[in-house]
Amino acid sequence: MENLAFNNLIFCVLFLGQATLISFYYSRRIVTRMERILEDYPPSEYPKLYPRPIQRYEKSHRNFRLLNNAIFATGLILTAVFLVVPRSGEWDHAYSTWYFLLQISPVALLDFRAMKEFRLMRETNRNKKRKADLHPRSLFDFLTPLAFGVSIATYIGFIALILYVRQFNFPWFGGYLNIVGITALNLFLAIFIYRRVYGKKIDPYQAHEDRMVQTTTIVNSLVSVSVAATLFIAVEIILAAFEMRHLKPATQCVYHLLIATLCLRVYLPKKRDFEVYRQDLVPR
Amino acid sequence: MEIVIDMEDSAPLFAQLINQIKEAVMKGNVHPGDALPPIRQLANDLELNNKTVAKAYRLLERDSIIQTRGYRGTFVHPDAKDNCDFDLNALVSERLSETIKQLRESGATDSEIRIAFGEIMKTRNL
Repeated sequence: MENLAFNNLIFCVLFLGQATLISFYYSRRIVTRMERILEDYPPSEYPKLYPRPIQRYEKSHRNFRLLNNAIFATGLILTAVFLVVPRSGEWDHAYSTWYFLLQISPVALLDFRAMKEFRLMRETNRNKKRKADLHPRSLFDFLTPLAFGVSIATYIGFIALILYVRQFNFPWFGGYLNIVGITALNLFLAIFIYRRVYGKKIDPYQAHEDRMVQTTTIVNSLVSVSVAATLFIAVEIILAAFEMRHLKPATQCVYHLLIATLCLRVYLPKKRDFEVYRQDLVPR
Repeated sequence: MEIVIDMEDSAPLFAQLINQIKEAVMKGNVHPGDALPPIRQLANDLELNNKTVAKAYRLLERDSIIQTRGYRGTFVHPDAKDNCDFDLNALVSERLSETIKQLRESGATDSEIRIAFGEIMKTRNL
């Protein structure tokens, strides 16, 4: 009984951490950054950055903040409920996952809107001069061989773990399905990385250096996500094998915190050249 | 090294690309043996059709300014700098002018030359 209360306390602390980090800390930082951009680079001077009327951006920032505040409040309420209401803890990992999906939905919406913005930017781009670097890009321009090696080693280690666990015939064990799932995830991430490295320029005005920095951040984030997801599934299997499933909700929360930290840093670049969005000088 | 393509320029896009790469070779911005971007990357960066870049690369390879080494990619030819001076268009014009001059001297009319030229081009499917 005491052990159950302790596990619940750990879960509540981590769940609160998940709510605070994603829906309070990161969301505030993203909103502050968006507002600062709007303030420091106004549409009058940087019209190329705003293909839509300014009111739409202000509304979008307001909605993003409100949505995150509501999700954060939900997180606080849920934490209080988890603390007070006695439960078996069997479904806690599912609550954490559903809440995580809710938490990332505003960012997904923001991303969806950004894609539409970039499409509009490309359509309204009147610059007839197109530039390219006469240098071939490769994955290792953005990723260190060590990071690549770590991701490959993690994947191979995961396969070895599955093959090892499989011989014990655990009734709960999914077997090769785990390998299929992780391979599918890695393939999806690899396609995404390929498109980022060799694909079309999403922002038509973006400076070359900014594009390189952004691609480096995204590639590293995605490789880290691949490693984190593989390790997470491996930890889950090990916990189940050692009859420590009561730790599953806590590891789930830690995993969500890790994934959020790895992914949301993409939205907070340190430096960006905004001069490319300035109004073109009209020759007299 | 950056290349710039002007969509409003009267010169065809593939020709602009060829000239820019030749210029880069002549100025020493790219050196023999240097790797060039794959067709898809360059086409995506310049927002051009893959076929346009492929055509430019094919003509540059024909003139021995670049060379393709299978799956390893495309590289600047070892003799690229010397070959940049060579103008194939000028050579074709010169040879054709000489031939037309000889045919005129032997009594062939311009329309006969034109018809014969057209038929030869057609039958050889060039």
